[in-house]
Amino acid sequence: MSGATLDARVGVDRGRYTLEAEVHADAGEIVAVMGPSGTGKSTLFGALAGFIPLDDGFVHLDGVTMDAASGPHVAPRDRGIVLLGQEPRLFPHLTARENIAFGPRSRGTARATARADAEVWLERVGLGGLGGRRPSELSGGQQQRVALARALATSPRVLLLDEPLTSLDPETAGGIRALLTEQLNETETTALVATHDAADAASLASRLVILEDGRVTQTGTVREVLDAPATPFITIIAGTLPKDDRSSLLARVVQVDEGEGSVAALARTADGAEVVLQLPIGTAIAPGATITIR
Amino acid sequence: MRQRGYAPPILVVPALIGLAFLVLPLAALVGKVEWSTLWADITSAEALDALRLSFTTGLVATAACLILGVPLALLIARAGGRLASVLRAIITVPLVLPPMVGGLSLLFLFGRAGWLGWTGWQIPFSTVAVIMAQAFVALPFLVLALEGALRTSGVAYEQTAAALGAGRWTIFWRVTLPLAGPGLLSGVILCFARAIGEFGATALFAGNAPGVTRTMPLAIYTAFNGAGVTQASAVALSLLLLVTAIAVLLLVRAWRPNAPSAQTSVEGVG
Repeated sequence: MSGATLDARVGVDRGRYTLEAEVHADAGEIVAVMGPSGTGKSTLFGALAGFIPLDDGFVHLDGVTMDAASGPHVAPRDRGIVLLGQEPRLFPHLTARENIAFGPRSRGTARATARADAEVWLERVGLGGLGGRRPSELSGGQQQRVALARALATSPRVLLLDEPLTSLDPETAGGIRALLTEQLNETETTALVATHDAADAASLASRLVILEDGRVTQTGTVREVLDAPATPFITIIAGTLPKDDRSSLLARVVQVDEGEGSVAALARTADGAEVVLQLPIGTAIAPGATITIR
Repeated sequence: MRQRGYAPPILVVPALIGLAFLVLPLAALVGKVEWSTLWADITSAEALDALRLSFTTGLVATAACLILGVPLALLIARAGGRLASVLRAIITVPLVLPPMVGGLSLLFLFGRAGWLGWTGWQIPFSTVAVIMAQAFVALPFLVLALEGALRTSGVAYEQTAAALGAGRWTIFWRVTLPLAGPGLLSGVILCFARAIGEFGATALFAGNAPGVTRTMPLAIYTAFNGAGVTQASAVALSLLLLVTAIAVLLLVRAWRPNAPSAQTSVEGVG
């Protein structure tokens, strides 16, 4: 079980809003996609999965065309690209075990085999013994674990994770992050992970793609990108990552103002210098938080 | 704490009169029942004929409504926008139309002198006509109940299933229908209840032939309008319909609260 090489140039034109992004992931590689809210990450993933038609470009898996503006258009079910969103979206009428067995069953695996495999997956994501529970009887973190197992049980050629940790509390998110790293590496699944958090990108992915206003503004290994930010946005996310070099300054956020189109955070360093950071709207930042300025 | 609000207390008088107006006639019906001969009345040949005919036609009509209504509900639920509104309005017409008019309309389509008269089909005044009349008045109940449930559950789960590799039929049977299950169930129950109680359209389109088109409501009507059915049988049949109606209500009620909370949100993109 291992992932495919993904090569895509996704062009989606929605009049006022256009997305024109190139992404590449080697087989088994995990690539993080970061960008301000509303920059097109979900559109990109929707197009890769086949739910949003391409106006331009192509999606290649192992060199085979899955989608192109001029055709062909391989149906989502035949691509082997599985999208796992912020919402686990477990089928509410099925148990955890049946949810995990759903994909293999749909692809013709015998019921008994699919169930036995589901049981193994439940163990792997740390939910052994909870297979009989309905999603409503599971916590948010447990649901996300089932969703991950359900996605991996189909042996996806590419797994798209759209902010899988955003709706979870920090402690739960930490557990899922560790699980993701472990399972994605173990199964050698090719994965794109959209995230707001540079720490997630750094811990999960080997490469980073920055998407701003529907365009890729920088791409490279996570270190390359964060060490040499090409845009103000990347500078900010790089700043949220803990650094061990001493050239950086620690500052405490003292005031946060939600403005039009951005969040202004006033931060003060230990020796009294003040700096105002313009952060993308929706950035979770509160007075009292410590940030690193390089 | 009960919220009693600020309604003028005197309004309780018309309220109770209204309640009594609905309940007392039914009580009077039950009071009229000859309990000692009830079993004999229900099992009299005429009553039994009507009973058997009503239940078989009601079941067949409900099955027909399922076969046609489920796809129709899906079509409307996934049409979206203006088209869905127009379709929904069209479906609602037979619901609010006097059934007599429905029966007349069926006659003008399927009757010997109707639009489809040239086919030579002998539909009016047959058991098939009974089923068609019932389906005509009952189909909207099923479609509207199911359509609402389908619209609420949305397509997000269907997308998830597709991405996991499920084909369209698998998604239909294992995701779409189960998610709309509570709506489908109440739709089916209401549909059956409406079919069983059908009178006007049946009378006009199917007639009143004993054993062929004389369903329970027609048998009751006949009893008070001449010969063929004894009044005691009519009362017994009425009681049976009343019990059926109450049972249907209880069934629908019993299932609704357990309905899994449908997820309405469709994941936004962009």
